[in-house]
Amino acid sequence: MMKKKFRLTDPGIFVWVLLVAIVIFSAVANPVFLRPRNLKNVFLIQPVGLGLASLGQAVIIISGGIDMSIGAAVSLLTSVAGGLYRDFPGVSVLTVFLIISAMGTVIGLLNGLLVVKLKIAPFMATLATMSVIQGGIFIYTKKTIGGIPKSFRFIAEGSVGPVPFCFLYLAVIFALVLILMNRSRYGRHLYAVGANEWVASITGIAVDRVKLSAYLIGGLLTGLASVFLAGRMGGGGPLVGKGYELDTITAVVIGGVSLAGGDGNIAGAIGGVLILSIFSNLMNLLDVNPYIQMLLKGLILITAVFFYAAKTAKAKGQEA
Amino acid sequence: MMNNENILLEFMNIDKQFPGVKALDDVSMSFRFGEVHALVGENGAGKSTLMKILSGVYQPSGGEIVYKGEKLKLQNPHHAQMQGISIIFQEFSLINTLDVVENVFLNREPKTSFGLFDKKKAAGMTKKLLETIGIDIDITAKIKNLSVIEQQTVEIIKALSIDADIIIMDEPSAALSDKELSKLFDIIMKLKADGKTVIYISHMLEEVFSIADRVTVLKDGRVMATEEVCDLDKDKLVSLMVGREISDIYPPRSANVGDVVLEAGDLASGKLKNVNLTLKKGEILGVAGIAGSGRTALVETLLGIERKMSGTVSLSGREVDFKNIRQAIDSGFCYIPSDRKNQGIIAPESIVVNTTITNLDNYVVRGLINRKAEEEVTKNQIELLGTKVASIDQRIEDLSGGNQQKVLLSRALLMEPEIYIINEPTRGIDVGAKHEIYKIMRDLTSRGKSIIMVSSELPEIIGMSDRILVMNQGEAAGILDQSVKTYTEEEILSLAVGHEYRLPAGGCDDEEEV
Repeated sequence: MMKKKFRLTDPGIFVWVLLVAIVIFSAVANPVFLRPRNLKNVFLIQPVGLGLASLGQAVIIISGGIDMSIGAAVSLLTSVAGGLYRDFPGVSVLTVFLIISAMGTVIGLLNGLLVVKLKIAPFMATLATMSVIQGGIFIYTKKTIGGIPKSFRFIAEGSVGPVPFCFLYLAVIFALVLILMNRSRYGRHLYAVGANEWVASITGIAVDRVKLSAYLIGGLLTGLASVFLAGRMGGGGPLVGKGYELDTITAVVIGGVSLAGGDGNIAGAIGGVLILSIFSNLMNLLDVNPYIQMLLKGLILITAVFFYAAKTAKAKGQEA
Repeated sequence: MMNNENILLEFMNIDKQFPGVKALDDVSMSFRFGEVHALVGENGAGKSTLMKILSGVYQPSGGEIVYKGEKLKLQNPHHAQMQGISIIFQEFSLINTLDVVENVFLNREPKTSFGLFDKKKAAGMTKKLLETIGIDIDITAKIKNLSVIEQQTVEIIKALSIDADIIIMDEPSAALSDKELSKLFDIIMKLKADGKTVIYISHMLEEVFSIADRVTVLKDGRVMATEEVCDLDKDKLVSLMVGREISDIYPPRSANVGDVVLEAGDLASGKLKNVNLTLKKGEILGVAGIAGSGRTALVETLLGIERKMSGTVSLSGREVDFKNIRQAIDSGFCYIPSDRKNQGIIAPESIVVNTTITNLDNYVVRGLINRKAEEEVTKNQIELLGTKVASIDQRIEDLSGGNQQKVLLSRALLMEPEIYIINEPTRGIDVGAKHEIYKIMRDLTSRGKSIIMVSSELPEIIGMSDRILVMNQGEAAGILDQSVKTYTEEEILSLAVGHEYRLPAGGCDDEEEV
């Protein structure tokens, strides 16, 4: 039996080609990029928050949904982390960690229920929760809340030997999600539901439960991302997560995950996150105006979506 | 006999080379003015490629097209249209949210003196065209509110509005009921009478005999034969298509039909009125009826996809009440729906994933899927059913219809159900693959499994069913036991429509009389 052909332009492989290309480009464009301190920041620390949130986004997109509320959720959860330390000085790291993770999961549950029980289209449902959450934050606080103690900041700033703790934090969670998606029965069901709900149902898969769980996982991962971000910034604020919904979607799409659901590898999302991380770093090194950075990011998303859509159309044309 | 003046279009030694495949090899054939010319062949025989060349989508690698006595090099589909060659694809190219008139004149809108869309004029022209083919549809209706045959009519009108001389219909009957099909045939006869040439691509050989004057058989990119339909019989046509004699497409029925395994009493739902049926061990129960007669509603109510309003369903004497299909599956049912593309395959996933999705538990060791084990099982299934695949990691959507259906059968087999419910088991599948699927179904019944087969292909219903349940407007119009005698298409259709029915006669008799 013939093995599947290996093509560099296949979505899922192309992201890694692109990653290598952008690394080489950055190294040439500005030698500062290659300094160990910068490399450590770009590869091991910077990508952690977006990486965790993008894993959640990827799980949800693969299940056939989308989450527009991630940014607002990150803002809320980091603010709450700051608020907890402000209002309950001496609260333990574990307590804060658990509360933030649980709150993330509850937000996921809310999104999931809207989609599964009320049958609201995922884009609209999560856009609505985004507004609800964002409003809630502003009622809770209008300013950033700092004062997160060093003990909590270990999550983002600590090291185990030479390796940043936060990198291990991402790596372990990534490995777990990867195994869940690629090797477990549940992951297979998630892909099936994302690709074709009807078929999934007639093969005996509990479609609603699977969809709901995707949002739960997504919410939990948003919570875990917020824990890191709160530690990294030493606090939180109402605009901390601004743009996260779009950044996570960009990362996932660059990673070769189809917005139509049911297609693409979760690992690609991490590739997409690294590309975005290097991109921001490069822009900063080259001293590019942040508004232009924002503009360029939008163009990258368009290019990525266009590129993969063209690939898919071409593949379809060949078989006809 | 052949008269050059009668020839509208001729393919001369057409070749088409794709990377690694020769899709068309030295194809020469001709189309006459005002003839209905059927193009048949198994999947991959080259029918679509040839028609894509004729409609300007592909360029031939060699050979030429002679049209109205002159060489014709088609640049693109628009160019072909301008030359009067129009193709109606299986999936219509209509805009659902626009009305009939807007669709017919899309991109060719007649203008008023102010340069605006002259809808009145367009509506008048549309009406006139509808009159020429003798069909009446509401031209202000949006496409999405029309039936399939009405949409097809709009496509035909669209072709006529650009003054097409050649109209290519790619599998036009695929989504039509029998009644709609006879309407389509009426339209085709009118087109023919107006001197239009119709190229009719179909898997359904009955249709070829009903409507075509001549038929060309393609196989592996070559022309096997072009024949007057009158000079052929079905067996000869089939053997030309598959390149070997098929003495019997339908394998013999199994002898050992056992006890009743499934019984439904006075089953009623939105579309069903008090249907009674039984299904025995080792039996194939065919469900016939015209589209909309409640065939699919019946099986989907049995499965709990549609909720029953009253009546009982019992399995081996034990009453059950399925609230969803999962409960039916747990009780030993499986379902293969008719719409393979949207309701059967999981398109972006591989053959392995599609095969093992139903019984993943069998490969899970300590929470993880054992890939080797599921690949092993998939390979066994492929071998068992003779599925043709390039690799088990290949996407299922890249397989032909027949091979997709075999993967779906594998998926069902792995569920180890007692009762298979198969809706249109061979829709859009070529004759050779059909035969193989029939063999698989027979093999299942000989192993004591039971099958409910919904089909709109009467030869299949007659050839495969031990008993036939004929549906008519949501009611069971009759149950025909074929162990006593083999029923005819007329007998089944008469029950299905509620009055005496005679099949439309083929074109041959009339022509011979002239």
